[in-house]
Order: sequence, then C-alpha cells, then structure tokens
Amino acid sequence: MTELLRVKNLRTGFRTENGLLPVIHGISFHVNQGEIVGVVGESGSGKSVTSLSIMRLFHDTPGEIMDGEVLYKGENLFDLTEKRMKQYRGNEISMIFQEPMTSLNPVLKIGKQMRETIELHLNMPKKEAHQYAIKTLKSVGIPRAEDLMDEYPHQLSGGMRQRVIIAMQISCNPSLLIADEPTTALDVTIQAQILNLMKEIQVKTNMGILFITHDLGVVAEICDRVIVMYAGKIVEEATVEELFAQPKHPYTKGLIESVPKIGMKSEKLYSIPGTVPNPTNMPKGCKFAPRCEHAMAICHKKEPALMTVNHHATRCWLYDEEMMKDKQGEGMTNG
Amino acid sequence: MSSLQSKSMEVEQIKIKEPGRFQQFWRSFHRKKPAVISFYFVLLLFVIMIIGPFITPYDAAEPDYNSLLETPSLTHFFGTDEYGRDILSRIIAGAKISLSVSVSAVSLGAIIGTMLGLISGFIGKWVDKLIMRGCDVLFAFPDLILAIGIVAILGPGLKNVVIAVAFFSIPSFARIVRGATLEVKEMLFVEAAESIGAGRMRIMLKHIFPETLPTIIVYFTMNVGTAILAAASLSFLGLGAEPSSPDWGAMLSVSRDYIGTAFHLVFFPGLIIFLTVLAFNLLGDGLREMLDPKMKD
Amino acid sequence: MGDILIEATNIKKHFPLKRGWFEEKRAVRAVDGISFQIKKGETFGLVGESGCGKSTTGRLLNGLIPVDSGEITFKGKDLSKLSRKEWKKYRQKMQMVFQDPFASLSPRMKIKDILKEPLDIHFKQMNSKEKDTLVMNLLEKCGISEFHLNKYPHEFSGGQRQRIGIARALILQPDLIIADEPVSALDVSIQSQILNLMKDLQKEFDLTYLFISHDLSVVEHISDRVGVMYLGDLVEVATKEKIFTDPKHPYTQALLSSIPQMDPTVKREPIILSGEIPSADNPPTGCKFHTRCPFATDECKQKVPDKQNIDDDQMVACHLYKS
Repeated sequence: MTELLRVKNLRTGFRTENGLLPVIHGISFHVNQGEIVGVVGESGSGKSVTSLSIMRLFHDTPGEIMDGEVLYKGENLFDLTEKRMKQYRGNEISMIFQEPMTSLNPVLKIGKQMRETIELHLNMPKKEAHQYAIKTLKSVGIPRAEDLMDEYPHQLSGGMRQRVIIAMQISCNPSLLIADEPTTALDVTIQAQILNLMKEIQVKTNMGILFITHDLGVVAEICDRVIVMYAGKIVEEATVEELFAQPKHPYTKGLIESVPKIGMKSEKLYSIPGTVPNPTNMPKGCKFAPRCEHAMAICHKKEPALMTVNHHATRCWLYDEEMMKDKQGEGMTNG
Repeated sequence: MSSLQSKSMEVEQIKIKEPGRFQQFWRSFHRKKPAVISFYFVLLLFVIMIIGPFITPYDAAEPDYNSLLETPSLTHFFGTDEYGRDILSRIIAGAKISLSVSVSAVSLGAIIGTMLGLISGFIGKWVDKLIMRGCDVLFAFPDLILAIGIVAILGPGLKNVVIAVAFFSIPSFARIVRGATLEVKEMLFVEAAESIGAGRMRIMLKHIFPETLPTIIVYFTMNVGTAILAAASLSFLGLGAEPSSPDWGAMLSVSRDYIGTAFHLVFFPGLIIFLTVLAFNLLGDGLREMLDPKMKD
Repeated sequence: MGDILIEATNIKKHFPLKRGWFEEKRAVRAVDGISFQIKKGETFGLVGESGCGKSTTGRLLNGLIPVDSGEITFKGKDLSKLSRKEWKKYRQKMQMVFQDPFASLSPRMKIKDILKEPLDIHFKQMNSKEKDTLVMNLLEKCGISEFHLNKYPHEFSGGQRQRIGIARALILQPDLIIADEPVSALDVSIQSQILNLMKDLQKEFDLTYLFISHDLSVVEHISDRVGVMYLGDLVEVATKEKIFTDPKHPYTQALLSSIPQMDPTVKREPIILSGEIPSADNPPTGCKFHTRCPFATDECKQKVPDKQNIDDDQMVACHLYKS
C-alpha cells in the first residue's frame, strides 16, 4: 500500500489577545491509498483544526500553523506557495464539510458551480464539462441530474446537497478526500445513504479518505483505521476492529461505553466525569488524568508518550511496561 | 463555513476563561484609537460641565468694556467678544447648557422610542402597523424643520428645544429597537421564558430589553452628537437659548456680524461644536463595532 | 403507573405558508392528526427525522403554540378550554427542557435569577430566602455547585448549561417534563452524564417524561414506550421492547437498520430507503411513506392506512397489518 499523506509533528495554534495559543500539540499520523482513516474526538479535541491545517484553510480564522510537516505524496504542503496549494486543493485533495450549504454558492445554479470546478481543475471545454458534470452527479446516485443542473442549492434537501458536494469534490479525481463530519447534519436514513455512497466511491476510485467525526457508530461503520484525539493530542490509534474489541486508553474506553447501545439492558450509562480541559488552562501531565478513574501519581506529573505495540498505539502510563514493572516492584517491597 | 463556525466556537471557549467581561471589553476598546480619544474628550466635556463654574478664568456673563473684541492672547486664550466677555469662559459655561440639553433630549427620545419599539416588535399585528406608520409620518419631515415647527408652536426656550429634539429622535429609536426586538423575539430563551409561564411584560422587560440594550447605547451616543447640532442650530436661529446666554449656538448666532472683523468670535464656538459632535459620532462608531457588529451597514 | 397523565386526541397543527397572490394557499402540515397517551411515571419517547413534527408536538402539549384542532387532556382536564390564567397554573405542572443549552438561557441573567424566575412568576408570596434554599437544593441535585450562583450562562460549558436548564424546569415541581432533544447538542461523554441525571431525577421526583429525539439509541435507553413519527403522522406506537425487537412499520424497520452499529465485525445490511423525505407542505397521498416504502402497493398510494392496534400495547398505521 502506498502512503498518500503523512502528518509529522503538526502543531497549530490560535492567535489570541495573549499571543499564540496552541490547540494541536504535535500530532503525527498517515493515510494510505485506498484506506479510510477515522479521526474521532469530542468538540475541542482539535480534530477539525487538524483537517484545516492539512488544507491550510485558515482565511478568516485566527488559526496559525506553528510547526510540523504535512507530506502529500512525499511533498511538504507547508513549503508550497499559496498559488501551488490552490492547485492541490480540489485536484489532489478535496474536502467535504458538515454543512453542505457553506460550500455551495447560494446564488449560482448547481450546473454552473459544477462546471466551473471542472473547467478550472480539469481544463475541459464548457460543453464537455457540462456532460461530465451530469455524469458525475449520476454517479453519486442523483437520478434527475439534468434537471438538477438548473436548480439553486436552496431548492435541494440537505442529503441532496451533500450528494452534490460529494459529486463536485470527486469530479476532479482527487487522491485524498478529507471529510469533516459529512453526515452529522443529516438524518439517519439519509446518513446511511451517504455512508454507503462514500464507501462505494472509495472502492471504485481507490482514494484515501480522512474521515473526521464524533460519532463512534459511523467510525465502526466506515473506517479501516481510527485515531482518537483528546485535547489536541492523539491518545490512541488502531485498526477499527482492534479499537472496538480492545480499546486501551481509558478515554477511548469511556467514550465507547458512554454511548447507549440498542439492546443494552443497563439502567445506568457509563459516563466520563468532568469536561474537556480549556486550552488556556491545560492540566499538567496527562491531559485526561483529571477525568480518569485509573489516574496514578505519575499521570498528574508527566505526560506519557504514544507507545505502539503491534500497530496499536496508546498514550497512557497504564501501558508503559517499565512503569508497571516499577509499580509492581514497589508493591512487592511494600508487601 | 461550518468548520469555521465550530472553530470560532472553540475560540469562544478559550475566551471564557479570560478576565471578566468588562476588563475584556475595556482592553479591546483601547485598541480603537479614534474612539478612545473621543471617549476621553467626551469625558473631559462632562467633567467641565460639572466643575465648570470653579475653573472659568473669568465670569462668563460679566461684560468688561476695557477689553472689547480682543484677539486671543495670554490673558484671554480664546479672545473676548463684543462685550469684552472671555470666550473660553463662555465656552466652558456653555458646555453645561449644550450637554444637558442634548443628553436630556436624547434620553427622553430614547425612553419613549424604546418603549414604542419594544411594544411594536413584540406584539406585532395592528399595534406594530400603527406605531410604524406614525414613525413614517415623522420621518417624512426633515429633522430640523420638525424641530422648528415644534418650537414655533411651543414657543422658544431651552425646555422646548429639549422637547423638540426628543420628539424627532423618537421614531429612529423606535425603529431600531423594533428591529432588534424582532430578532431577539425568535431566540430560544424567549420561548423558554414563555414555557415557564412568564407574561408578556416580563418577557419584554427582563428577556428582550437587555438584549437590545447594546444597540440602544450605541444609537444613544451617536444621537447625542446630532442633538447637540440640532440644539445649536435652534439657538442659532434664535429659537433656543437666550441670545446673551453662553450657549454655543447662541454664541455663534450673535457673533456672525463680526465674522469679517473678529473671526475668533465665530471660530471657537464653531470649533467646539464640531469637535463635540465628531467625538460623539466616533465614540458611537467605536462602541458599535464592539457591542453590535451586526448594525454595520 | 397506569394512570394517564396526558392524552392527545387527533391533534393537528398546520403552519400556513406565505405564497404569491395567485398560487393556491398551502400549509406545512407539521402535525397532522396524532393521538397518544402518556402514563404517569413513564418516559414516552418520540422519534423521527427532521421535519416530522416531533418538536411541534412537544410545543403543542405545552401550549407554547395552540392546536388547530383536536384535544389535549392533562389529568383529565381539556386544556383547549382553559383561559390564559388557568393555563399558567397548568404550565407549572408541565415544563420544558430545550435542545440548545447555549440559546435557551437568557444571556444577561445570572444563574440565580434564571432559576428564581419561575418562582417569581408562580409563587409571588414566597420570600427570597425560601427561594434561595429551593434553588440551591435543586442546583446541587443537578450537579452544579452553589459557588456558581452569581455567574452568567456564557461562563458554563454545554453540559453544565443543560443541567441548569433541567433545574429550571424542575423548580416548580412539575409532573411532566417535555424534553426536546435535550442531549443532541452535547458531546457523547456529556450526553451520558445528562441522561443519567434525568433518570435519577425521574425516580427522585416521580416525573413523567416526554422525550423527543432523533437518536434512536438514546430513546431506547431512556424510554418505556416509543412513538415513531413520519411527516406529521404517528406511524407506530409500542413499548420500547416491541419497537426495538419487533418493529412492524416499514419506516420503523428502516430507521432501526440505519443506525450505525458500534461493532465493526458485524456487517449489517441496512435497509437503504430510496429518495428523500417529501416536503411537509405537499405530502404524498394515501400513506405518506409510500414514496420510500419498499413494500408499497397501489392501495398505499390511495388510501390512508388506519391506525391498528395489533396488540394492547402496539399500534401501527400500515396496510400490511390489516386484520
């Protein structure tokens, strides 16, 4: 499998009145061709900022990349000029957002928007672009594609808009698709349609997808590999089967357990106490320690490293062998 | 972009932990230089208004026939007028008249206008139509003509200037508060208040009014500038303050005969009116950016 | 349990649409004649996709918006016949929790004042000290320390605000809480805190819940009985067990199969419904679901299905189950 994207030690911050405030604290991961990698986390975990950092999409926001590299097919995107980067966006890397309306121009017809994208990125003459647009719309399961070309975005339903966006984004055959909560604003029956569609397209085109979501069910459904983020760091990374069968990090475990499951007959849900720490006031040591029921003395003092065993990475002292050996040793001498 | 929204939410979360609302407000306000300078100028005017009688170098009303129409000098910084009265002292004394007239006029207009706007926006239907059509009628007259008409009916004098200026600021307050009310009315917390059984009065005063307050403050500040100008104009036309009183407009009016011979008689009162109106407008602009970014149009 | 606390009989609400002069008048048929009962002490879940009328139903019960027709009885009394004043009394016994905790608290009021407001309205004779004690007790039960009393809503996180919203709803000691998507704006780890809190409070104060949500897993967790809505109609009502193990209506079946499962080893085959949800201002004839239903026949296109009680505790509106 060829590697498509590698993020190395990415650090991103927000400009505030008190200077640059880091919100992504050095994360590294990769996406292979033909692979769907999920990024899960709650609000404030930095998952969306990660995707914007890769795309360098910070126009009107206070976001700023502080450090790190994003290698796309071996080339560092952070070294590119804005002009070159523009060519990468859409052509090579595409992005889908949660609210489809934000990516559509409300005053232009769907057809015109589709054509413009295609003309711009694929250098196609107008007529051909028109035919190609209809073909792409049909490929995402829109039956009346011809009529739709003459309609405005507000005339479509949420699910249909998201289909149009997907059509627009895949029309230029990108190798990598970044999807930021693409189904969160949709109803479950429509979500099922869109997830199915994305899987189909992925199999057909063999592109890599970075799928950002807060919904663990969606992750289990669509992803091959999962990255769990908490407070701007990766706390766990594993294949999807491994992650749900044997979650290691207490945060991942808590997250999985706090979702109600159909058929589960328990009176009480598990819940992680407390809330996500504020970026201006990060705890020392492990960022999750204040909410963790297994927290030990060291957790509050020193941040654990991301340790990988058999392709399963965890950032937790509980899985540090040296640590645990010491601890057992202590117990022995005490006893 | 929704991701931008979610990001700005994250930024908001960051802000929450920062020092109190007021401190934060003050700090970012201090970055808007014109507004800050205006703020201190307005503050200075109010201080002068209060302590004015104690700091004037000369009596503002006492004629001095030994020094008629003197040009600015070290003894009389702004020179003297046709009766030998110190112009600086008269301007300082006049601050009290101009500010109290304009502030009380705008306050009166704001109170009535806000009430009408709240009722109009919240109740809607025929009440809204009635109030808004009434405002349209008032809007049809140019402000100053309306004020002149009112003073003409009520007779000249500062009290009637206050009423006249208040009257023409009512419709603009009513309209702006109505707009804000319509927007706030749709918010979930209003529905929540309804669901606990809150009555209309309570919802209007406790839930909607506080939300419209920033808009009102901004508009108030800007209107004080307009009111000063209007009051000065009325005095200039002889419909406001007594010609002998140190009102800025009246000073201008009396001294226009000397515009060719003693320019400073016109210049200093004119300058102070200009600066004051400008300061209120700039301050209003600054406040608007801070409190009510949506109002920019 | 057993006594009926609130009952809706054939309630309707259509919102007229403003159209051009020459077009025929149309209306969004938000709630199109639905009937159900909620028993004392139970949690009745109302599920459906966006635009199905579930939120409107909640507001109709609470009287926030008036019904066009139909009857709502609360503790045996017909609410439509009450005057404005009498409504106030009933409001006290029927409170709401809203979806968006960021928007449902007045931004310029202190927490203390937000919580005291219902008491100010309904218990004018109560003195300030008594009110304070009530507020403090309840806040503590909802997991907010009294240390926060003088803060403003923007100083709290979403989960904390929802706790405050719940406390506000409880302070008048209501019998019925109408919760409109109370956890859907929250992160999963916070969501479970709030669900647990609601369950605890239900036991402690003997509450009845109408729990409105689009999230079937949440509804399954908290409800005793569940109603499924589609385009303003109630298509199925049954006990939780029956809805989730033996759903009858094809729409309920499709909804259930669409929920992503948290187990990647299970390769499920969701019933992918074709097409979009029709617009509520121009719903399909006959059974409203026929345009997307895999089992639709000609009869479904023409005839509105009757509501049939398959069992004592299972109602379904579908031609497939004609007796």
